[in-house]
Amino acid sequence: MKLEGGFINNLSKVYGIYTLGFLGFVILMAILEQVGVSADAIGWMFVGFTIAIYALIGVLSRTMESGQYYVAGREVPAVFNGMATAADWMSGASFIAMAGGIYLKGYPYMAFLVGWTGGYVLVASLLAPYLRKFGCYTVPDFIGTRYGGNLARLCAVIVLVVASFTYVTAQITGTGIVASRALNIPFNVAVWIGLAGILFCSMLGGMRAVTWTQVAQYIVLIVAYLIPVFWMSNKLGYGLIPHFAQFDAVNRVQELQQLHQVGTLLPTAEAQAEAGKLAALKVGINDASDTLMAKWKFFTLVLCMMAGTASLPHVLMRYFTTASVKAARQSVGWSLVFICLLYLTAPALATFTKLSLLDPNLATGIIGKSVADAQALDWVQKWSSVGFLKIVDGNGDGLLQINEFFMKGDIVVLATPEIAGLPYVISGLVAAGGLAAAMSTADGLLLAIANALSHDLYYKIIDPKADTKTRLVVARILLVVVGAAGAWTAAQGLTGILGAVAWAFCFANSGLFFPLVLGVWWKRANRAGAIAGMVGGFGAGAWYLYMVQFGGMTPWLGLDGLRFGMIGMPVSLILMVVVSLATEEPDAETQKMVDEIRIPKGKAVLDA
Amino acid sequence: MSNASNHWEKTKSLLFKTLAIWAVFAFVIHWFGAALNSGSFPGSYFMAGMGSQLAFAILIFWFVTRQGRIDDEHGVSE
Repeated sequence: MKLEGGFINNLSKVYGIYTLGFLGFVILMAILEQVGVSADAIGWMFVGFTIAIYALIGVLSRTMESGQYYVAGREVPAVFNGMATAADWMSGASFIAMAGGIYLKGYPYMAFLVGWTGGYVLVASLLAPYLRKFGCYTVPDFIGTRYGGNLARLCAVIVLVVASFTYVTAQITGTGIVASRALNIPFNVAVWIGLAGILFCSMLGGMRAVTWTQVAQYIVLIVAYLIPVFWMSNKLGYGLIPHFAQFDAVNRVQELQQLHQVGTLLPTAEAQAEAGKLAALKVGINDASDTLMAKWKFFTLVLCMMAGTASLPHVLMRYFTTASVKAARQSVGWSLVFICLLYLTAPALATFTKLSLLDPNLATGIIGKSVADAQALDWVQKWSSVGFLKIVDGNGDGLLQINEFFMKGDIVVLATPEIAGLPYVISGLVAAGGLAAAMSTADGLLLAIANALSHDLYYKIIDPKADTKTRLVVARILLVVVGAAGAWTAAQGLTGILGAVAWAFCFANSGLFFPLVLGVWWKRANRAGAIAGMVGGFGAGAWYLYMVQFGGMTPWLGLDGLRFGMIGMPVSLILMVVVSLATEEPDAETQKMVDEIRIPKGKAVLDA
Repeated sequence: MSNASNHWEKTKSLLFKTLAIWAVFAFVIHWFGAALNSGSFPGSYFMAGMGSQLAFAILIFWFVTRQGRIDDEHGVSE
């Protein structure tokens, strides 16, 4: 495609045409469904078509220049970088698991929503503009240059790899779940197909290719997330815009909760044993508890997710690609706008799904009705057969009570179109959206890991004389190796999506939050302090997680495995401050460098 | 006071204001989540699902505008 003025100046046109093309494709699929094409074929076409587009963008964006490969040439406009960041950010956990979590766990779970959006205030005010001015290629590049020395750089690389690898495994798992459902293939095969798609996007063009595929993936995932919710809100008669309509629906659900005795009618031990890991609905939709412990748990989860957001390298490195410091700041705002489009919708989705299942006046409301009728439903059979759903008539009365309906949270998003009786084309769309969300995040994470290993470990520490071509070849080999390791780990099925994601945030904030923030905001911070902060914080957090999760230790103050950053972060802060003050202040050159990154004007510090 | 340190003082003061507003919407409001549900409107659900998120988005754009103004005043913008 040849455009007047080049690709960058025609982004709105290119992605406008792309969006219209995608909507046209959805309509075409809807028509094919009406004329009798099978659901399986539509699922294949959705997944195949979208992956083919991403791969095409990946191939078109191939490059052999290091500035293009590592930071997309630093020419990505703020709005499009915001869109790419939103796709980078919103993972399988946001797309597939979040609404399900809100559905099953109610208000306490909404701490994730607050944490995963508020973190961007920290990114915008504390870090992004300063790192952009610094002009680094990777996050360890900043740590290594600001504090000096290979040891500091190596510590940052290790924290980055552990946090991002934990995260990427969860994303490849997400890709596998969606692909196996949509394509009807075994999970451990789907994982490798997903990886092939991910590598196609990132291998040839690095950050440049990932940026432009992420924008394309954002458009697919947001369309896929919004359409079913708007459809349901209108179909159920609550109003045109679900975001405003959901509050009436919440009140209605609260009436229905009393009818179905949600929270008092709990599953019997035998029924729960039969259902295994699946869960029945046990909490109300909006039960904000007034106990100190509940408040503390909400607070700590919000804090851990926020600090994690501001320390995860795959997010921070997106702001290295903008054209200026000011654009980096604006871009953070746009990122949050695009993220909010989905996050504001997740509670509405959970609420309307709940309403569809609980309301006895609706045809879709199966709770309180006959077990035999429920079990005859298509979607109940389909999701039961893959172990995502189970009906256990514990009291044998032939009616389906709230404590007899067990499910996995993930199906709230994936099965909602079927639960609400929407046509299959919507299910295919949702599958394509889930895949886009998981793939785009996996892309960013794999690139963050491979770039840290190739740029910081190989080029800066092992072979500083390597030429550009060798460096980029090494970067690509590492990308494939790390991707394969991630897919292999995912195929073992060790971690659920959400737990692994929360761990990644806590690893990142334990090891990197204070070394990054104080590197900009506290001139006195020095090498010894940063190393102590990274090693101590990361070590303390990892130890605590191990003891609570596997060592049988009782959590302190209710700080479970999702919140181990509450141990790692204070240790990191205290060690960093104490050790910095106990050792010599940084040399004049370093202090001058810090002064430089604090003003937007002038060349990037690393280019000067 | 030199131009650079003056610029940094103002930048810091803007940071503290931003973080203060952030803390209200991130922590304070949700600490009192139960109290928001007194009427017929699901207040805690609204704040966690919508209110805080919108506040953060507006806060970032406000911060960006203010920081841009500080940079311009001190002649250090790009």
